Amino acid sequence: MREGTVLLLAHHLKELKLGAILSQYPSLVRQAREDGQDYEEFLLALAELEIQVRQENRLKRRIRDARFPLVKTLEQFHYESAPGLDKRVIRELTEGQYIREHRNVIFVGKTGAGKTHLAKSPPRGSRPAVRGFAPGSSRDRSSSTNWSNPGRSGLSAVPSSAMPGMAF
Amino acid sequence: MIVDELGYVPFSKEGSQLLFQVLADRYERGSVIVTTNLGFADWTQLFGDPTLTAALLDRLTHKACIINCNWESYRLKESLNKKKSVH
Repeated sequence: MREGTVLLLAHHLKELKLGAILSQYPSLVRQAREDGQDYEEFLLALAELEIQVRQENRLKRRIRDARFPLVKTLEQFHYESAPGLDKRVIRELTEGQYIREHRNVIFVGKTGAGKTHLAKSPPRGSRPAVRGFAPGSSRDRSSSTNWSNPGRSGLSAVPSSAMPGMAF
Repeated sequence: MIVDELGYVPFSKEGSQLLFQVLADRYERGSVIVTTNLGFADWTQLFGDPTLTAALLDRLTHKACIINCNWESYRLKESLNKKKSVH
């Protein structure tokens, strides 16, 4: 490709905010040539790349916005140590239906049972926070506000972006 | 919204009322996940006011999914296991 084309392409892609395509198109071009892709296939590859990268970034941003003190995934939960826990219930909760229906989830139990782990774990891809419930949207808010000091935190401490931890 | 570790630190009167407002406001508008070591019968000692507590529990638990975590502490088990392997 001519130098002028490279520069223009970089400029336009930046302006269009197609960051993933901008940084990775050379390898996609190479691949397309090797595979003998036609134009539509090549365009599709570019579009898919951009979408995938955006989804990953969105996920990372949501988890960051939720400001979890310590991120433990649901996959890390020791179900063997929790004999009374119904995995099906947990799995169902990860679907996020309770959020759509504005229903609550209450974990009651001794310290060390894993309540916080369950409540705050965001596994890849299947958590509501991760799923399409934007933290801080009018549909959902979350915060790690210190309720025992209302003077300091107060209701205004609920951030305009949050996530359901449990995002179950 | 996640309210984690309810029950370990008692609330002041203002705190209880504020929390009640927030949770009552969310009733049927947004989900809340609560983790607590206290059974519902003991929540009055946390919030102080029995009427407020009853009203709160009523809204909070309505159509809620309540998960009882009655098994042993994972942390305790881990510590005990570590001790065992040291000896």
